[in-house]
Amino acid sequence: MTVSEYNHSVECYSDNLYRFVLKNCKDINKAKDIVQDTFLKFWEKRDTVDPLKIKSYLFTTAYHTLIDVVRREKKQGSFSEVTEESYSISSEYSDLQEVLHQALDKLPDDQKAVILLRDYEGYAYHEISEITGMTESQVKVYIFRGRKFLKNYLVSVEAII
Amino acid sequence: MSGITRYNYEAYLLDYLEQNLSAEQILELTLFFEIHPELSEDLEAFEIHELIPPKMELMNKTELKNEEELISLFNYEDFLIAEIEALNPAETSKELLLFLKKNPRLYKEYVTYQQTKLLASTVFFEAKETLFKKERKVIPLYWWSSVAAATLVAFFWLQGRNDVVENPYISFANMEVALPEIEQKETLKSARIESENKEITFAKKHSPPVAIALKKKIVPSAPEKGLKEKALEEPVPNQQDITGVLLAEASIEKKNEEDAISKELIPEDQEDAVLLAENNVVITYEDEVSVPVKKKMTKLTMIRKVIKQQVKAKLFDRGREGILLVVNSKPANFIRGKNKK
Repeated sequence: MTVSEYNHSVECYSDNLYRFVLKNCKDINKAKDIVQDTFLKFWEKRDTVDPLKIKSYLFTTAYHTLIDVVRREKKQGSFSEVTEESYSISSEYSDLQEVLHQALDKLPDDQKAVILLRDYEGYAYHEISEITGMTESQVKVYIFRGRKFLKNYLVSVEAII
Repeated sequence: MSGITRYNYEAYLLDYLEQNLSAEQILELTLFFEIHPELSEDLEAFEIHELIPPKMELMNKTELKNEEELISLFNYEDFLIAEIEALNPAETSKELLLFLKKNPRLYKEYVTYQQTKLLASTVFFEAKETLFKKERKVIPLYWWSSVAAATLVAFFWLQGRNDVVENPYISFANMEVALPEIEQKETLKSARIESENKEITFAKKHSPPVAIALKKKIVPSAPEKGLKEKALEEPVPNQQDITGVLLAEASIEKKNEEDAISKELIPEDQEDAVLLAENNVVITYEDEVSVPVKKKMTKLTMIRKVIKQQVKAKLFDRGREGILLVVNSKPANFIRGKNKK
């Protein structure tokens, strides 16, 4: 892979990758670090990466880095910092997408990741399974569960409003 | 002997009540209770505690029964999600629509599922510039480029050699020498070639300038003085530019004519000295202060010349005071003190 091809990949995928990571970890600095790490790994392995699967490689690497970071933080007790308010439903929502993203944050990490890959990036189930390392049926189950949770959340918000 | 003991007979008893024992095991258990009649009370207790299921009618059983249809109230959500995920085949989609028509209260649920689709927000990675790599230009060295370069070098080198062979002797008479201004001198005591360690440039017709550094020091004898005077008296145009300017064609022709005349008069043993004098070799004299011949004046020599001129002017202007100034200067006192010691 040439330098120009690598730079083209940066141009094409860095925004999407950053958005995916940021939506998952909700921390700008961490998201930037993960994206930097991902592209660093990509540069180191640029000769072994299939040019047709660059995007998939980037998301796979970013996802696994993200999981590592999240697990490390959970071990360090950042989960305890989450207040009860984050689990409660606020009535100050002005936009449906805003409510939906609020609901998304309440999903388990795996379900959130697969739904983001599905909705934001439009990946097929088998592609998501490649990225996340899950089986295709597992991906399907997570998406179904995630959708049900989101639907119930929306219904509950409507009931409050 | 059977495996039924006092410690495990209860498990066998439970299996007996649930009718999980084989005929042989039932026979063994019967035999066990005959041997241990004191334990037969447990058998009766188990029989008493047998639960009898109550007779109840299931509600809306007909509504739940939907064996013929694919989509039912138990699984419709899966089909709704599959519909928004575009996983349902066309036939299933039609069937789902029919199901929703039959159950209009579920249509709102279908709409809500459609709303669970996330819309990608516009997020830009600000530090994108840090990810880019700079491209390194690699100039390929092909064999033919090497050959071409070698050919060019060889060509110019051979051409240079041919020029040398064609003109083994440089005719000084055909050279145009740009001579600097020569100051008039009053007396001639001994000749000296001042061109030592100084570059003299000869401008030859149709050839690039040739730099020659003359390092010889020739002191001509008395008879040569007349010849050198003649050589010095050659018409040399005043030159403002020290770096050298070509002489005019007319002056060259005149010079050549005079060279021819002078050669006739010069004895053979004096030809070298005259030749040097003719070709930009500057002859100065002991009383001279400035350096008259300089084809290419360096900064150092220029500074020296300026200092000399300034010192000279200062001495003449101030006269006696200037002389005293020099005499009483630190270097002079230092020399005197040193001599006293």
